[in-house]
Amino acid sequence: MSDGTWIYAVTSLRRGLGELSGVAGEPVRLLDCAGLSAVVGTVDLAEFGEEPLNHALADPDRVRQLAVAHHEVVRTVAGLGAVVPFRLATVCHGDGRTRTYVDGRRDELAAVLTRIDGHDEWGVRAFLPDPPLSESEAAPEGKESAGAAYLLRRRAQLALREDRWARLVRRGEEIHAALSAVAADSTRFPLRGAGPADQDQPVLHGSYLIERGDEERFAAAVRAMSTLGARLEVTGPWAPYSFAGIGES
Amino acid sequence: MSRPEPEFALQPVSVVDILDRVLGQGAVVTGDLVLGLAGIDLVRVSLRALLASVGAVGVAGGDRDAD
Repeated sequence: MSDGTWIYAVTSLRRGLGELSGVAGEPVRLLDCAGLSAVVGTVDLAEFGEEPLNHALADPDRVRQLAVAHHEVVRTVAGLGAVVPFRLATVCHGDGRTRTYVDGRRDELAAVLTRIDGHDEWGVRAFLPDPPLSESEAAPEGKESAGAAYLLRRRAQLALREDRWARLVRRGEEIHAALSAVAADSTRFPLRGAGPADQDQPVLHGSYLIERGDEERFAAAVRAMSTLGARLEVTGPWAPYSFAGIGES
Repeated sequence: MSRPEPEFALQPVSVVDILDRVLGQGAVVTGDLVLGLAGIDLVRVSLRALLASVGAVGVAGGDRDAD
């Protein structure tokens, strides 16, 4: 078989990974790269080469399985030391090229590791109650029910709903600002399928980099938002995926 | 792990949350050293497919209910 190297993360951890298996059930190991370690596994390129991998990634079940296995490794290593998580399906032609990559980005990776050391990522989705349309909004003035008038009313109605959604998103931005104030760093995920017609969509989906020991301050900020009428769903602690800061994102 | 747990109700981690991170975040390697550059776009395509399938089976904590 032809070997590839699947990269899970880069860490400052030098040893003590323990027994861990990866996306192909392979043993996960630390690859020494000029003072840093790449968390890697050897995978068969017949299965994880470009062609077969692209094929695999078109299958939602396979994506889900790979994602969970990849995440499980990242999560475990993050419990042992600082990690820069790598995007799913980062495969190099062998350990040599993995080393070449890490060596080339060494300073950048080391800087990220220093920045995120001792921190966790916490995810927040904020929901705001969207009050039912008032009578004037739902049925604006006018007795005509014929074509053109109806369409005008309908358009006015949709515009009002869009205004309402814009207002909710602005409040989401305020919540983000309040949570960011207690975080070392923060970022937002794009709102998926959000819009005036969507009920029960989060008005904010953010991630916050919180120093360990600072969780209570963050929790207090979350509670303060809740008392203002927002419903916040929190997940974490996550490895600092959203703060890897290497590459295109 | 012996970290102090903050006082708020934590949501169970969903596959959608994991996908948001392992597909949409994390360090990205580009150039000749890695395989499958075309795969990055494909990943996004499959993410959309997956979100649809996750929605349909109603994974706990997902963004949307069954459409």
